[in-house]
Amino acid sequence: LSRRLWNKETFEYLLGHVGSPEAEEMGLFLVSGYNLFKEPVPDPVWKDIVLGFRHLTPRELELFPGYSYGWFNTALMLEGRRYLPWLTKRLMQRGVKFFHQKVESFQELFDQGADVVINCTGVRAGDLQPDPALQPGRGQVIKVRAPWVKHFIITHDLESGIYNSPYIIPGSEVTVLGGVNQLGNWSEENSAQDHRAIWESCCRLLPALQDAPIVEEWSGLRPVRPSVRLEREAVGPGRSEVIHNYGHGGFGITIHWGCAMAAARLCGSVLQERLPLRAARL
Amino acid sequence: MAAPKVAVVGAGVVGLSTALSVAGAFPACSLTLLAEHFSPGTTSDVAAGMLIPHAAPDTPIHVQKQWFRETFTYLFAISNSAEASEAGVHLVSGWQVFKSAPEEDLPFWSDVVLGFRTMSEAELQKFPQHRYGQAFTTLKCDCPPYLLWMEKRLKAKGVQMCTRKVASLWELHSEYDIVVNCAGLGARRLVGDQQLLPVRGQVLQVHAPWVKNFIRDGDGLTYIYPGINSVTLGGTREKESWSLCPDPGTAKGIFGRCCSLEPSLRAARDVKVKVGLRPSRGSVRLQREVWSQAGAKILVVHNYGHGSGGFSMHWGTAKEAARLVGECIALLQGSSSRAKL
Repeated sequence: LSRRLWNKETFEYLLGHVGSPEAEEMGLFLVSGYNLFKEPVPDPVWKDIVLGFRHLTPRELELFPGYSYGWFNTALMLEGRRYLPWLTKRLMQRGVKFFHQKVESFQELFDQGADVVINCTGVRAGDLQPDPALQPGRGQVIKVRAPWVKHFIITHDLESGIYNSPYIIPGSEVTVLGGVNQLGNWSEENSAQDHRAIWESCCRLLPALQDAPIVEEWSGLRPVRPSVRLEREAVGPGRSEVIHNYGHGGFGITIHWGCAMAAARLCGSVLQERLPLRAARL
Repeated sequence: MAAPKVAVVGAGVVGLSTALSVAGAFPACSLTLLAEHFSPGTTSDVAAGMLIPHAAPDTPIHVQKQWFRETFTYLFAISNSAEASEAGVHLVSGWQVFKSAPEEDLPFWSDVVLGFRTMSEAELQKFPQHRYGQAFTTLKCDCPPYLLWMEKRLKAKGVQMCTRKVASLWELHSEYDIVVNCAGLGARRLVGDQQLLPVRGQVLQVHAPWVKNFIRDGDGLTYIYPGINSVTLGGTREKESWSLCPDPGTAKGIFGRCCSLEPSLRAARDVKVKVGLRPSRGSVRLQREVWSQAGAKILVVHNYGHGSGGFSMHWGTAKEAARLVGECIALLQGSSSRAKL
């Protein structure tokens, strides 16, 4: 399964960086925590990718009334707020140019002379090329100041589906409370109803959160797709090559590096094929 | 007879928890807490407050285990309650790593902490200089919050707290019937206990909020303990050193050792250096005595000498001290009924 491979590649790549001097600037660090279930479930496919995976003991489960089964493991945090600027800085150091502009079509880029376009447009990829398989998975999060929380706590409700059950994730500056995943909902406005559901369910998990000051609240759209679209496609009359890399749902950070390398390999193939053509143009 | 008047001397983790334990067990007592130093000026304030016992040589292991278990159970309930953040009590997971295989596979406390297991090869790769490790989840009591929370609970129970330097327990005999001596290292002068010696510990408290796991070298000298608002980096164990002055060379050494274990600490900021003198003794002195002199009498309960184990054992020893106070109260009631005859 490609997804498991990309997950493994990403984890190992980041784990290799977690001891480096860059880790803090990248927003990268190790964090341990709990996955909670209301009934026994099979072990996840990623159990050997993360560190120290094990089942929860009865005393640990006492911490979480209502949950009767779970996992403990050490995983990686990669905070987008720090990672994106770090990546941007590295790209700029390599001479990559950034343009803040709205792209209306792939063709306009080929007309401007692009040899290949890599499409990482996420949830709005359908604007460039209709994709009925892609839909938003709306999420809302409450960010609080709760620095005593040192573990992630992720609950699972097999009926409501993934990311649709309360979770608590301690970041380097704020702790993120969440747990909604509304398929097909394009609204990026915070919903009072979701706020109440997230707040109440997370405070039930960790009663001390009631005293935690709320710092921010935010809604976003996961780019949900049955599978990640990672493939090349010849488009338009010129049969120009687009490499698609979108549809990562709620696990983009988790598999991004594996996907990036796969997209880079596809890019390499495309450029290789086009070399004779470019030479012919000169 | 009138309600017994009890004084607890000392406002570190042992004094405050002992007072709480006595107040809970004997609500009829009139209880006062006397101390020269209150948080943030106590030895307890320097400690990271991690529940990882350091075996004391002269106390039977089963007793240490019982005290640790009682303390862990008590704090576990607090960590799981709405008061956890105010009390400064929280769970923390991490690793204890060894350069060479430890003497015992399973420390006596391995089944008291949560999820204790041997580290996997993959986990050990993070520590290239170490060949063996243990992973577990335990509790941490951050100070000052934990001490301040106990002070608040004592006030709510009507316990009087006074800043007072007690030069000798005798000076209290006219005001109190029972004195509980939780003076820590101060007991050396206060009751002349020559067995009590300082073991100096220097630590750094740094801002490194991305550090979520503890890391401890099995030799007990190098450790990284993430707290609520800072990470404590340690440390030293300097026997019979009385200096409370931070040593810059030692500070550099601690920082270097901790960065070897956790390289990301190089980005840590706001480094504060602190020093505490562990009140060390072969075993905790937990006993009661009757002091009488020229017709005057006080009943004394000792609860001091916890060395490195103050936080790990405090609730267990507080309960035992309260039990000894109970025996003192019974003695008082016995002699007062005899006096009536």
